[in-house]
Amino acid sequence: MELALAETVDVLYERAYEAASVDVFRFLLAWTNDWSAAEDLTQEAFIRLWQHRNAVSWDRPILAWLLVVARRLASNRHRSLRRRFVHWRTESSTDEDARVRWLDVKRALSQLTEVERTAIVMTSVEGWSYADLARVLGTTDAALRAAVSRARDKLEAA
Amino acid sequence: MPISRTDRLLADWRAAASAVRLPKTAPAGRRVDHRVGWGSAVVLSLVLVLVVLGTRGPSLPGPGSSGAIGIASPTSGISETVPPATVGLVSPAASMPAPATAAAVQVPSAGGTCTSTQLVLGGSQSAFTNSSIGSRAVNVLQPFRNDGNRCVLRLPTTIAVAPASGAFGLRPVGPAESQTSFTIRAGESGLIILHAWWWEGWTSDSRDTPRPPPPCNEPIIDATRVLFPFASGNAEIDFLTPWHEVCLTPTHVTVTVRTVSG
Repeated sequence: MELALAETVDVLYERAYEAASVDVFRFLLAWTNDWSAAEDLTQEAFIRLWQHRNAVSWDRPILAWLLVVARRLASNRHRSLRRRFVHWRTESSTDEDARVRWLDVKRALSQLTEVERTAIVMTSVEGWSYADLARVLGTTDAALRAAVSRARDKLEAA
Repeated sequence: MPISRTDRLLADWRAAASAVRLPKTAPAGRRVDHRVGWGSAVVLSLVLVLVVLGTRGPSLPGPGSSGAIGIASPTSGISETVPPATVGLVSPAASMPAPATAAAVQVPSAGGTCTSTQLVLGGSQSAFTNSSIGSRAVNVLQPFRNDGNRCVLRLPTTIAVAPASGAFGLRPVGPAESQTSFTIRAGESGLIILHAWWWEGWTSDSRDTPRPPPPCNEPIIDATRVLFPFASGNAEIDFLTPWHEVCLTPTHVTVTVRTVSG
């Protein structure tokens, strides 16, 4: 019986990775504006999910849990991860065209704060509602709307 | 109608992000739970050398001594790739459990003069370390740099501990060595070293019967976060190798500090 349960959790974990890893990556890419860090932090977020697989409610959507963990990891570890990985793997998982395109976008978005960048990307590109994103970021709808407005102003003025 | 610069940038962001190729399989799984990266290996090895050289006092006490530190495989060994996935966005459920914030717990000040605003933290490293039969032990190494004036870092007697998604609870912490306060010069770097151990039970040699671990009062299970107090403010130390069990009593966590200059 225990073995069956363990196998079930294995399957749920793998399914969660298949279903949510790209969303977690995109969220982290918006937050960090750093491709390698977003890849590494995506891995870390799922390692955390595995470590807490027995405490997580698998019958609910797991993405919100992952994003809250991902944001906290990004806030705490971004600098150290960059330091750890930058010398041996940079922008590794894209083709050349995508890499060049990304570097242009990255440069433009670097003038935004983490919240401004995440707010405008996740609402305008990824289609998140302000309310859902506010819960993940631990802020309010109004603050996010203001952040998006500031982000647009900065990007247009650049 | 002309497309604004912002909309063009966001379209480019979407195109670039869609090209990501993440590893095909989820990380860790049940193959490896407690892993550190090669960067960690280098840092831990250096620290180990410092500790073994005995620049300051004896090794960390407790059932697990601070001997050889076990190093596992890299955290992010990305090898296989897959084409960009097309995954439907799942709206987050408001009722999902979220990691508890540190704001809910008040950790007593450690005294001294160093504050959380002047000590800049790097990324923590954690790994299993040697332990005696029937117990396991994990060291967490938290690098810091003093960006403020010279200060005195006094070791706390209480820290807050939490699992990745649970609430913080106060737990006692003892000094790993006799020294309990450290002068940190302006610009100086160092390490906060947290050592946690717990009983896992063992088998008696004489009768080959399992012996359960001694009582652990109000354990916090699989802790991966610590709130570490200074004279004012706390540092939240996150780490990957969980402390399986942190008891209210007896004390199973010790702490010390190493500065780069020794």
